[in-house]
Amino acid sequence: MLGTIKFKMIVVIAITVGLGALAVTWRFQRVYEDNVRLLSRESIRSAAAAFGDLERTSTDLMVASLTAFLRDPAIAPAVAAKDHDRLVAISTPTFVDYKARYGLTNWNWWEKEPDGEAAPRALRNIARVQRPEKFGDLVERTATQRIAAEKKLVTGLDLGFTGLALRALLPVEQDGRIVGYVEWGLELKTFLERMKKLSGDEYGLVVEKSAMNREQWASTRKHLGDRDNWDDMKDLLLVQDTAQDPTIFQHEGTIADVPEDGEALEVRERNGRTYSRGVFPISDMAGRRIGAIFVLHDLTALQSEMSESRQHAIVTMVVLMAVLALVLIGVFQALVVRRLERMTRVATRVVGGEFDLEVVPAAGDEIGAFETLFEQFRVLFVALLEQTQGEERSRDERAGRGS
Amino acid sequence: MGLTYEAKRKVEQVIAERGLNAAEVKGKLSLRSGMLLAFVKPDSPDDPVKLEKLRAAARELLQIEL
Repeated sequence: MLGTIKFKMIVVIAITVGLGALAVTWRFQRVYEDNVRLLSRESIRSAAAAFGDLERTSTDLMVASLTAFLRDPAIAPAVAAKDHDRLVAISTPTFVDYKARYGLTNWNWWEKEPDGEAAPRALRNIARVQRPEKFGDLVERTATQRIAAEKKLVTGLDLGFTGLALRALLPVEQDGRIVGYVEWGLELKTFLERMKKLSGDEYGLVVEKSAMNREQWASTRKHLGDRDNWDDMKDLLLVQDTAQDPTIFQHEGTIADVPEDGEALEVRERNGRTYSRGVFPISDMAGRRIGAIFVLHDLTALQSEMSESRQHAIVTMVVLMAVLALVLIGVFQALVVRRLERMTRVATRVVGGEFDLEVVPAAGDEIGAFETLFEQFRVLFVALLEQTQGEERSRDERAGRGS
Repeated sequence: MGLTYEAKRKVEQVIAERGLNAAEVKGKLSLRSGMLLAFVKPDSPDDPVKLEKLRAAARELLQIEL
């Protein structure tokens, strides 16, 4: 059995099926990796686009609402008088409403800079509507510096003690004279939550530690009831995120290394799920790169689907190869093996004395040619035997007559 | 009567007893022993080498001692 052509064919087919399964597995893995790269890039692109859209629409909403709110004639006198309690009282109902409806998180009233100081480094806070007990301090930020210098609408991202926020600032005027400034802000956590609702992806906002103050960060985290995560990463700080487990945003690189149009980082397994990680940079209102948003795209469903498809493809291929193998072996058996066995049987029986047993070619193929040759050989063999027998008989007869 | 002829008769007897195909069995023995059993006659000379091959073939194919 081991030496038969049939067995050798089975071995060759089995090896071919095995190699085919390996090739299919390899190919599916490549397709999976390509899809992961594509999805990862797409999730980064979508997240960056969604972030840009949210930034634009939120800015428009804040500017329009703030402009309308400033038409209240009670506001300018309160700002001019630096009346903390009055400003908090006027602002709180709107703040509560906008916080619930649009996620407004910051509302600050600022004193006008001292006369003669054209571009102050800091402005004094009159009131924080979101945190009324904290006021009267000098705050040095890009947003406050710009509104004090430019005296007109200022919008954009700005890094504060509590993290990054989208801010819109307007001057407050009384009788054509600037008496102070108002600022609305949306913390990026609101953005990230909205983006998560749209895409299902997880987002984490990371900034360089060098742009933050260690003590102020610890104080803010304590005030918010959050764990102080300053030491989680070497140079970066996760300031806002949407994930249950923020350790998934751990990164050892730097913000400066992130390409302008984002970058797919890697695929990670965590708690039985598979995620692709990517990142894109964000810049503040001064055009400085101040942070990056990490995007986690859940690939578990894709991976499961690909794995299922791969298994189906392998099973289908193995079944098809097995059917093909059976057909090939059947054809080989009918066209070659049976005819060779018949010739072997005929040759044996001819030698055994059944001289008139003929081999009739079954087809005009290669084996048929051999059958024809074999039949011609049989005829010659039988004729030779008859001739030898005839000569023996004649010799015997002569010998009989001679005696 | 030579030993080869006796062997041939014994083979034919076994074939008859077992109802085997005579041509096929004789053919196999002939091919293995190198002599045509069909042409073995009572006065055919014995070739010891071929006879031994025939015995070995019979032992293997028919499980008999010639």
